[in-house]
Amino acid sequence: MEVLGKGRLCKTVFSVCVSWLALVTLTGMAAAAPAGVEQLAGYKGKDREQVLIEGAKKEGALSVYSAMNAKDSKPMVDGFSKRYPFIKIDLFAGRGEDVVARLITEQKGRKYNADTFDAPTINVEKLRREGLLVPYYTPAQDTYNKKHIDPNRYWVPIYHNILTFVYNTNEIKDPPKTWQDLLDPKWKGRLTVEDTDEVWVINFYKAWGEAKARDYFTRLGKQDLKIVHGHSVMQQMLIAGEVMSSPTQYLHQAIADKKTGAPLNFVIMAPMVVGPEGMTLLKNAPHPHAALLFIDYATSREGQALIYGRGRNVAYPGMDPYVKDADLLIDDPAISLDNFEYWQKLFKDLLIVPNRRR
Amino acid sequence: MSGLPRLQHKYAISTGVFLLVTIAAVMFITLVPLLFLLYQTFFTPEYAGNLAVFTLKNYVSVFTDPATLTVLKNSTEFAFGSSFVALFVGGTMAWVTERTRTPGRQWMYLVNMVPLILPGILVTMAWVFLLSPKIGLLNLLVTKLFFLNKPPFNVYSMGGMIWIQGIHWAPFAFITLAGTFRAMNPDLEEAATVSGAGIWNSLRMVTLPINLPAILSLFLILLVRGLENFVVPAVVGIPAGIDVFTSRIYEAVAKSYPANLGLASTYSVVLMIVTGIGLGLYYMATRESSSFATITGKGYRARLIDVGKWRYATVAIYALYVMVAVLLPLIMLIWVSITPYSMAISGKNFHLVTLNNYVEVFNYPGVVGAMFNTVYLSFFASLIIVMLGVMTSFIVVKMKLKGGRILDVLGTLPLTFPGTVVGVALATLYLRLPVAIYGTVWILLIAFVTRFLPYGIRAANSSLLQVHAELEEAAAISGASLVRTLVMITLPVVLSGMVGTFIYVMTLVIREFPSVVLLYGPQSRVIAVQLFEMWESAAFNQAAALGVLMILFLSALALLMRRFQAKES
Repeated sequence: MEVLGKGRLCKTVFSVCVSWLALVTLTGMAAAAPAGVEQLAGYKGKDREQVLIEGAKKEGALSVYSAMNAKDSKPMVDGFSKRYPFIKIDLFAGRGEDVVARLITEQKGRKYNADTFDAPTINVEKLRREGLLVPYYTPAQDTYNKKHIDPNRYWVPIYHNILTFVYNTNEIKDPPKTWQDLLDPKWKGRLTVEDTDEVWVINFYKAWGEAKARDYFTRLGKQDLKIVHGHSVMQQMLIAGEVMSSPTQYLHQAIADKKTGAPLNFVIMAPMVVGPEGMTLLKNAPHPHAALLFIDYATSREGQALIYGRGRNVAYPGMDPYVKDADLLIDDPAISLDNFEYWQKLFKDLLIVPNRRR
Repeated sequence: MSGLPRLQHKYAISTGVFLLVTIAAVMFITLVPLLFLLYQTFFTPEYAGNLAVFTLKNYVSVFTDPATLTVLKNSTEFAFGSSFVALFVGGTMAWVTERTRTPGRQWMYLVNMVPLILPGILVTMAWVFLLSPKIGLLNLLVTKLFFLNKPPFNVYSMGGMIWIQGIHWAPFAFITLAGTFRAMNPDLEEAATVSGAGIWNSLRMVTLPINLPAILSLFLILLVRGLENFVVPAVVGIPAGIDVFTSRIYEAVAKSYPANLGLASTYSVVLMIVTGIGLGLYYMATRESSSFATITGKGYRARLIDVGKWRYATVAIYALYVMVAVLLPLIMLIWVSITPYSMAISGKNFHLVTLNNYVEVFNYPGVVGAMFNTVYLSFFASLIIVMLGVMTSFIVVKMKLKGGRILDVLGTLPLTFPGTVVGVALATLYLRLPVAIYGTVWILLIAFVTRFLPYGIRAANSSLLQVHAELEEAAAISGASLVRTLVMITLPVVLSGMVGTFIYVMTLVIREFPSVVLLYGPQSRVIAVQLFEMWESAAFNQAAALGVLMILFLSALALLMRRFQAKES
C-alpha cells in the first residue's frame, strides 16, 4: 500500500470502476435481444429455408441445450452438421431440471448462450413462465397430429416419454391387458410404483374424471404396492427381478433393454401418459437462423428417423408404431405446476401412505 | 502454551503477506456461497417476474413442521449409526496397519482407494444386489449354506442404510486415522505396554485419548455427510418407508417450481448449527493442545507391535475387511460392467459376458476429454485444498491469532452447503462479474475448493495439534521467518498425514456432481457428469464400466505416487 501512495490508489480504484461500468454497459447492450427473433420465428414465406440458410451462414454457430442424453442426440446432431456444415454446434446436455436451473441462472445473468432448448414439457413450461421462450413456426406444425403439438407454438415434440406397464418376464407370466386388471387381487404385492410419478395420477384424473380416477387409485393403493425412488433405480430392479412389475415405467427404456436380451416386456395400455420432449426457441437466441434450421431438421422426417433409430418414441406422423395407434394422454404441465403441492399430497395419500412399511 | 514467540520485525512483511493471502483466500472461497445461502433463506424465490420478497416462511416451515421431527430422528439415527460403523471399521484397520506387524499392511492404502472412487449410487445398487431379501447374492448363499428358511439380511431397513453408508465411508476413516497414527510417537503406547497394560488397555487409555482431535474431526465430517446423504436413503430408505430430511431438500430443489432454494438452504442452516455445536465440542476437547502434541524435537521411529500369535487374528481381520468393504461391491460392479444387463452372478450366465460396455464408454461423445479434465482438476483442487488447509490451521493452531477460530469455523461451514446452492451461487456471481470464467475449468476449480476445503482444514487442524511447539520455537529462535518455519518445519512433519487427505479429496472431487452440473461448459466436461448421464439414461452397465475404468486409472496413479514417495524417503 505504501508503494502506491494515496493519490495513486484513488486513481487506480477510480479507473477500475469506470472500466468495469463501461464493460457492464457494453455487455448489457450487446446481450440485448437481437431485433426480430420474434418476427423471424413466425416467418412462413416460401423462401423460408433460403432465408434461414443465408442468416445461419452469417451466424456460423449454434448452441443447443438439451435434456436428451448426448448419445441419443448425437446421430441427429451429426446429421444436421452434415447437411449444414457451416454451422458449428455446441451441445450442452443434462437432466431436465438441471438444464432449466442453469438456463434461468444464465439468462438472469444476461449470459445469452443458448439458442434452442429441449426438455420434458414440465421444464419447458417453467422457462415459458419466466418469459424466456418465443413462439415459433416450423413445418412440422402443419403435418403433425394436432394433439401432439403445443397450440401456443412454444414447442414441438422431438420424442415422447411414454409411461406404461413394464414387467420382468421371469416373474410375471400373465401380464394385464387393461388398467382395470391391476385391481384384481392376484396383483397384490406384485406392483411397484415410483414415488414421484404425480404426472400419472394427474392425467388419469383429467381423462377419467375425478370420481372414477379417485376410486381407481384408492383401490390400487390397497394392492400392497412397493415403493421405489427414481426411474433408473426402478429399471435396474425390474431387470434384476427385484421389482416384478411397474405400471409407470418408460416405454423407450423397456424397448431398449428388451433388445439387449433383458427379461423385460411391456404392455401397450390404453390410455398411456406422455411427457413430450419439447423443442423450444430462446427469446434471446444469439443465432436464431441456425436455431430455426435446427428445429426444422429435428422435427423433419430425416431428423425424426435418426431419433427413432436410437429407440425413442417419436411423434412424426406414421413413423412409430407405438405412437401411431396408441391412446395417449399428452401431459399439460401447467396443471401440475399450478397445483403441485395438491397433487403431490394426493399422490402420497392414495398410493404411498397406505403402503408404508414402518 | 503461548504460541509462537514474537516475531522479529524484519519478517513482518512476509508474515503479513502470508496472513493476508490465507485470510483473503478462505473468505473469498466461503463467504460467497454462505451469504448467498443465508440470503436465500430469508427471501422468496424470484421467478416469472415476481420479485424476491422478505419472508420467514422457510424457517417457520422447517422448525414447526411436525414431520421435521420424524425425519430428523431418522436422519440422526442414520448419520450416527453410519458414522460409528465407519469410525470403528476404518479405525480398527488403521490401527492394525500402522501399529502392528501384520503381513500385507503395505497394500492397505491402495485397497482402500477402491471404494472411495466409486459414486454412492453404484455402491448402493451393488449392495442391493447383495443384500436384498429377494435377489441378494449374499442372502441366497447364506440361506443355502446354513439351511435357513428365511434370508438373514434385509437391505431395506435402517440397519441396511447404516451398513451401506458406514462401510462406504470406512476407507475415509482409515486414511484419516492411519495418517494420525503414523505421525504419533509410540513412546506412550509403549510405556503403557511395558507397565503391563496390554494392548486393549493401552488402546483405551493412550491411543484413543491422544488421537482425540483427529477422531473428533473425523466424526464431525462423517456425521454431516450422513445427514446430507440422499442416495442411500433414496434407494433403500424410501422402499422401507424411512423418510429422511434430505428427501425434503430434493423435493424443494428438483420437484417444485420455482425451485425452492430457500427451503433447501434453510435445511442446511440446521446442518450448520449441528456443525457449530460439533466444532464447539472439538474446541473444548482440544483446549489443552499440548496434551496431543506427540511429535517433538526428540527423534523417534514408529516401532511396530509384534503381534505374535495374534498375527493370524489381524490377518483374518484384514481378509474380512477387504472381502466385505472392497471385494464384494467391486466384484458386483465388475460383473455388471461385463454383462449386457443386470443379472445374477452365475455359471449359466457366463456365455453372455462381453466387453461391449467398455467399448461403448469410449464411444461416448467427449469421454476422453472429460477424463483428462477430471485428472488435472482433481489434482490441482486437492493441492490447493491441502495447502490452504495447512495455512489456515497454522494461523489457528500455531500462531493462535485472535479471531483465528472464526477463520476455522468459516472454512468448515461449506461442509453443510448443498452442492446445488454452491453451483447457483457461483454461477450467479461470475455471470455478473467481468471475469469470463463461467463454463470454464476455473469456475469448476473454485467450486471444488469451496465444496471440499473443510476436509483439508479439519485434517490439517488435528495434524498440527500433534506437532509440539518446541519444533517451531527452535526454528524461530534460530532466526527463521514464520513462513520459513511453516515451509521447512511444520509442513514436512505433517506431510505424511496430509498425503492421505490429498488422495481422499481427489476422490471426492472426482465424484462431485451437483455443483458441477450448473457450471461446466462444452470444453470442461468431467467424468462425474458423464457417469451421471449414463446412469440417468439407464445405461447402468456402461456407468459401471466407467466406474471400473476410474478405479484402474486411480490405482495406477496411486502406485506411481507410492513409488515417488518411496524414492523421496
